[in-house]
Amino acid sequence: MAELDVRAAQLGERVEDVSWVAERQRFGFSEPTVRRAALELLAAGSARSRLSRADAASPAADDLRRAGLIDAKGRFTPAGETVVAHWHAPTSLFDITTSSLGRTGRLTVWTGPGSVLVATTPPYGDARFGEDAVHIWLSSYDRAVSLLASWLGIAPVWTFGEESTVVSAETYARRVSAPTTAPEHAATHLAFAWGEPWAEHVVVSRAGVLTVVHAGRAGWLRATPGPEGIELVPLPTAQFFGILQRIFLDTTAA
Amino acid sequence: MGGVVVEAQGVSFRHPADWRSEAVEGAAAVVVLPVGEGAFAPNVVLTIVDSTAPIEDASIAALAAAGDQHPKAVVIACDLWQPDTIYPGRRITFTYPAGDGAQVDVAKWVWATGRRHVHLSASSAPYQTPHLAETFLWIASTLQIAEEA
Repeated sequence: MAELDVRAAQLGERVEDVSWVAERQRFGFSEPTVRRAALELLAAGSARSRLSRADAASPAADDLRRAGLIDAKGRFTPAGETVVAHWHAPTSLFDITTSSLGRTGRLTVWTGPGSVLVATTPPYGDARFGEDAVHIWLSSYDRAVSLLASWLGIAPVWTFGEESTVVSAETYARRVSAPTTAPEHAATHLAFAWGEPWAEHVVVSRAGVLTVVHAGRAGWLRATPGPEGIELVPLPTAQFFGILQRIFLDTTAA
Repeated sequence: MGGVVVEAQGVSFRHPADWRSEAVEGAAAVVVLPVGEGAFAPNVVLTIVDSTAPIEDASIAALAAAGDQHPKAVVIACDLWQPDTIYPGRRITFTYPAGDGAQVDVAKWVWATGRRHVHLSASSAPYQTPHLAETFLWIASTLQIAEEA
């Protein structure tokens, strides 16, 4: 017999507990990593396909050697050339920054000829990897949005309520930084979400800026600035995924 | 309502006229959108299994199967589907890598009748998904289950 969702039951809804799915598909951040400064060295040397002598002698260059992107003398390997090809004339760029209780994460996607280059930190920071560690790898266009979804931690979660609530920009900013008391006028769902752990994600692309909040068991909220403040509205995960897909397709269309 | 009716084992649904039916072992019905050579052919697959388990169990099983059958799948959502009907269901959204850089998006509807579990899986490549989302929703909305005696 399926376990039922406890909070849904309190609201009078009988649905199965789906919270276990997220743990099953946790984003796998792994080695090899390079420091973000190392990527900057690679970019600086791209015109000549090699690092300068000074850069080649720097500690950050060792990251590039370990990752197979340059040889012992600082010359780009084929893998290194492939990486920088995504920076020469990118057709699109996704950049997501995450902040949660003082920890930050970042994911950047560049689309190049026939592939995407992805650079990620651990989603919410991870002391095991050093504060500036970045994992980079190549993937296909078709897999790009699924990578975003995985890194963001998008997974099934029940969302009950569709009402939006507007809060002042200051109230919103304070809540992003630390737990606060929910506004008195908050809709029922937002009041629950307010008490959950928050992580703000800012998705920047050529389509503009999309700001969302992951509020633990309450799922996702879309945060939209307006003349009255920040409008917070529940964002079902299927809808969120569809938005990311449309952004990606619209910004990479030929 | 339009479209072409497909019926199998007391379950029927409609599909656009330009889709074609195919016989696939293990499936009660399959319809496919013809596409150019080399492109992923969007498809809708109907499967029916005997089970007395309620919808909550059918949903859990489908959520687990997404990951079990497709390594590295990302399950996006589990939503209520037509909760006020005789057979309330679920719509499960997931995406999985399909080899050689390919990816497949799936919208899978699940129903439990008290005697059977009915699954309707709609698959498309990511660049096709936004264009076919409304079609898949329409197909799922036309599904009818002959009332169980």
